[in-house]
Amino acid sequence: MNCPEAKNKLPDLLQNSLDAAESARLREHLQSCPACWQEWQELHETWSRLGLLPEEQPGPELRRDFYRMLEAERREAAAAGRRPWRERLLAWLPDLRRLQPAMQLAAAVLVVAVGFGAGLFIGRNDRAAAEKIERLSSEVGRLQQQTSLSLLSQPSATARLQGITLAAQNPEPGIELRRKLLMVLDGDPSVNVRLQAVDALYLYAGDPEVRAALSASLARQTAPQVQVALIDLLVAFREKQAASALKKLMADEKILPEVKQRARAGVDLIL
Amino acid sequence: MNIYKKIALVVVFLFLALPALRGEEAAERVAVPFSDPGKAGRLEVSLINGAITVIGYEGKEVIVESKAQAQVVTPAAPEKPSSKYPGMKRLAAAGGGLRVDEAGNVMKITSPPWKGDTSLAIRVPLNTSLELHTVNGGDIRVENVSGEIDASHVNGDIVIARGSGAVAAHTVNGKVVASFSRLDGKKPLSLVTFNGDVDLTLPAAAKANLKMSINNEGEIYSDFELAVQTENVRSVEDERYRHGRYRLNIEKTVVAALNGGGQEITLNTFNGDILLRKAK
Repeated sequence: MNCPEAKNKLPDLLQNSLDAAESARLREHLQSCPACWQEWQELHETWSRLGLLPEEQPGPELRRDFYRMLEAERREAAAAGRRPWRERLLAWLPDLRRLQPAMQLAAAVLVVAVGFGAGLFIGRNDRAAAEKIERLSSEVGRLQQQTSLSLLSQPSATARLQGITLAAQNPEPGIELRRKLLMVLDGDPSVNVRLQAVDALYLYAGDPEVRAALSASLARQTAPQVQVALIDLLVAFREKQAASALKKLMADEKILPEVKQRARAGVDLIL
Repeated sequence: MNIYKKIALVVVFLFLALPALRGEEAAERVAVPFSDPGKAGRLEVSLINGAITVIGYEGKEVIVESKAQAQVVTPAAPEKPSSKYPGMKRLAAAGGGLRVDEAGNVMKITSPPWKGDTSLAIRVPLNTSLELHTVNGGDIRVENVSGEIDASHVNGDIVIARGSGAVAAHTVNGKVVASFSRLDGKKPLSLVTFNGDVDLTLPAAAKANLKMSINNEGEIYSDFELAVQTENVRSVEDERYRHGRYRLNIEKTVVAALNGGGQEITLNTFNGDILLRKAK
């Protein structure tokens, strides 16, 4: 193993995410290379100190802001059909950082800190450092996405609810997260979790693929609560493609009358 | 993951085909330990017909009691001639009862879609996590269990008392009632119903972020002073110009922080009220 390779793997070693063979090779390299050993020591120390930081809790204003934004987004989606939402989210970014569970935050801070240092050292000019930070900040989003994805795969419904809350706050929700949220909406055994997923999917108003998937998902929903929430979402998006899915719902005898009524009102609003 | 590799398998069959005591309830009782009693176990119960009552107690084993009712086919209660296939007699297959499997600290209790009532009264160690499903035949009740609770019902109430507050509960036709003397604040709490009230009691000092949604005729009542942040999303459907009607939809979603905010709480009903009570 050479030095750059080893340095790349140090964070994995910290998190214990290497397999036994790789871990052994890395340790072997560390024994033989003073430079890498030094870096490992520093990383390890930073990491342990991070563990001593008090756990960050999201403040109430964050949630308030989120729902304000969600509300505004719903209204706008309803009024204009579609509009870019990304800018809003990005403007919101500084607040979001405080939301990570402690370890996630620690990992993110560590990556940023190490990267920042490395950027200054290697780049020795602002531009290179800025690029580095840019890259690392997207890394934060990616880590946050990883956390959401792993929470969403837990057997516990409350953990999955937590995963969705976190997903809804991701500044840069990636493709994987989008796919997972749609999977959750279609197949999660818990109605509570599916309902929460509908809320999170409001943030994808501008994504035609999501809108198409939502229309298709309507026919697969069995819980009336989720049916209603999904109808409201499609209506808020003014998704014209959804009209046929809504009409199908109205013709289905298994569907509750209240839901049919909602679908009927929805068709009128969409078309 | 190691736990799952070391599979300690305990399979217990509870046969409910008891000697015929028509009209009388016969109770079957079985105690099953978790394979690693030192760690918090998980109990999954899936019924079609039957109430589920789970109570936490200071013990290590899961104790299951089931009341078999008259529907069970026994030699003394001869099966009526099959009307589906005239002239033929239906055989009562063995295993009409309950099945309890335990592996890797996860215990599963299932019941085949049997005609009879398979209501269960279960006692579990205090920190057990629960996943409970039923469709008909009574309520789901959970008391004094500090693990996470995931309960889903279709035709019946869900009642949860004393616990950590990490709950996902959902029913279609029924109330969801929950009361907590403390909230651990870590995991979300979500109570959802379609036809029925959502009734939540929290300690006076509970820190929470509330999101409450009602539709149709429902109202929200609260003992707490809430810092309400959004309210009453109105949409107007004015279709009079094309011989339609005029309707004002008021979908009420209230987002509010309780004592500065904390645990995520979602309360949602379509036809019903939301009641937020302060524990006395």
